[in-house]
Amino acid sequence: MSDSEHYQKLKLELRRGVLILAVLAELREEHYGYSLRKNLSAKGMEIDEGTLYPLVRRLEKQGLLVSEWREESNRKKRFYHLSEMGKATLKQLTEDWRHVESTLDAILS
Amino acid sequence: MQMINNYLNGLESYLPDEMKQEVRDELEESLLCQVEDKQGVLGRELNVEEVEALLKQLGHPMRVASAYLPKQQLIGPELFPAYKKALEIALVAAFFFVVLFSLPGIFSGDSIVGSAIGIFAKMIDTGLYVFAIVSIVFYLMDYYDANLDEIYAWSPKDLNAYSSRLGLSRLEAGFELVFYILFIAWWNNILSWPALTSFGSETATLSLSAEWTSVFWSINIIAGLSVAVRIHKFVLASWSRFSLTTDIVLSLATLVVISQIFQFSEYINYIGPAAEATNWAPVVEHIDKVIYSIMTIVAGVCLWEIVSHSRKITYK
Repeated sequence: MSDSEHYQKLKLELRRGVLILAVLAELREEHYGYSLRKNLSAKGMEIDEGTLYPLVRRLEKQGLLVSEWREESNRKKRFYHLSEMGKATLKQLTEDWRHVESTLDAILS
Repeated sequence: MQMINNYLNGLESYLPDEMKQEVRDELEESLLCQVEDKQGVLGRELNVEEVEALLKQLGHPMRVASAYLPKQQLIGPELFPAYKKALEIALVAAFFFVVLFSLPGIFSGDSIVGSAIGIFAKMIDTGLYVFAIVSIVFYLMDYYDANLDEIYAWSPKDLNAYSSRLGLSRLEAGFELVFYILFIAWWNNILSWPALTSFGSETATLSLSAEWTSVFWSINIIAGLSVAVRIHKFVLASWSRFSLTTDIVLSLATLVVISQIFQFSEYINYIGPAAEATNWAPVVEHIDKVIYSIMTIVAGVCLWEIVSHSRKITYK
């Protein structure tokens, strides 16, 4: 495996946990799949559909998100937003993230 | 849009029934949104290549579908070490019984090589069954979220004293085991002397000398005990104080037997017409030298094992 492949693999691992936090944070406001992806992308968090849709489905199954199918512009769309449990989890994860961030800053500096 | 429809049909085929419609609807909606966005930017309808690129970016339908499925591995990483250990123990036990139940066949069979191939084939056959059964059991344990605390129940007090210097490969132990079993089979067949038969068109026969009978049972006992030690080594994949000590004793016994063999006046007898005895003399002499050399090498190996095992016992 080349250095670049190693890097890509590590980068993916690093991103995996962060993605959940980003998705939860973005779903403080209601979104359907494509609008969620576009919003994340606009903020610099690129994520392909093959990863995003299964992820939101898993988070919904875990009770962190709720969804409902609604019609918009004559098309059926599935809208997601945070559940109460999702809100509490996001709050805890955000605190953890801040802690990790400051710890890593101290280690990396 | 036919291409998108084909893609979604393909994706559906890899999903369980309860997911098909929802996943299809959601991805279809997302793809249509993307198509609309791109058409808005380009000011025209997307051509076939552009739709193809869009779908390729999403990924193979099978890969996309797999991301929705909960279990993506036969046995998960948490259960895998226990699975590996269970498989190891089950295979060792299965191979042990295959060899044990095949022993009578080896001794009564006409060909040692044929018997060995038969045992090997039986080991592969049994091994595949064992592999399948253990894998299915662990797959079900993983699927039904078996309690890992019970599987990995342990106490530091119960851990065996283990040194990497005492570890050994099962392949090596297995090879030694097969070697000793074949040797015993060969040695006991050779009882029906003369064993070394005629060469080419010559009718004369070369036989082991009668002096070998004096060491027949001692060699059988040493080889039999060596098989027991090899089975012990094979099961544990490690040396123990018991197996090291037994092996040292067996090596010493082997040295005693070899010293007895060195005192034989002849190793090989010529049986045939007296007129041709002189023609066979160089062959007999050559075989005598070969046997003497083999005995010297075996004695060297025994000495080396005694020293090496003693050091291992001291180390432990």
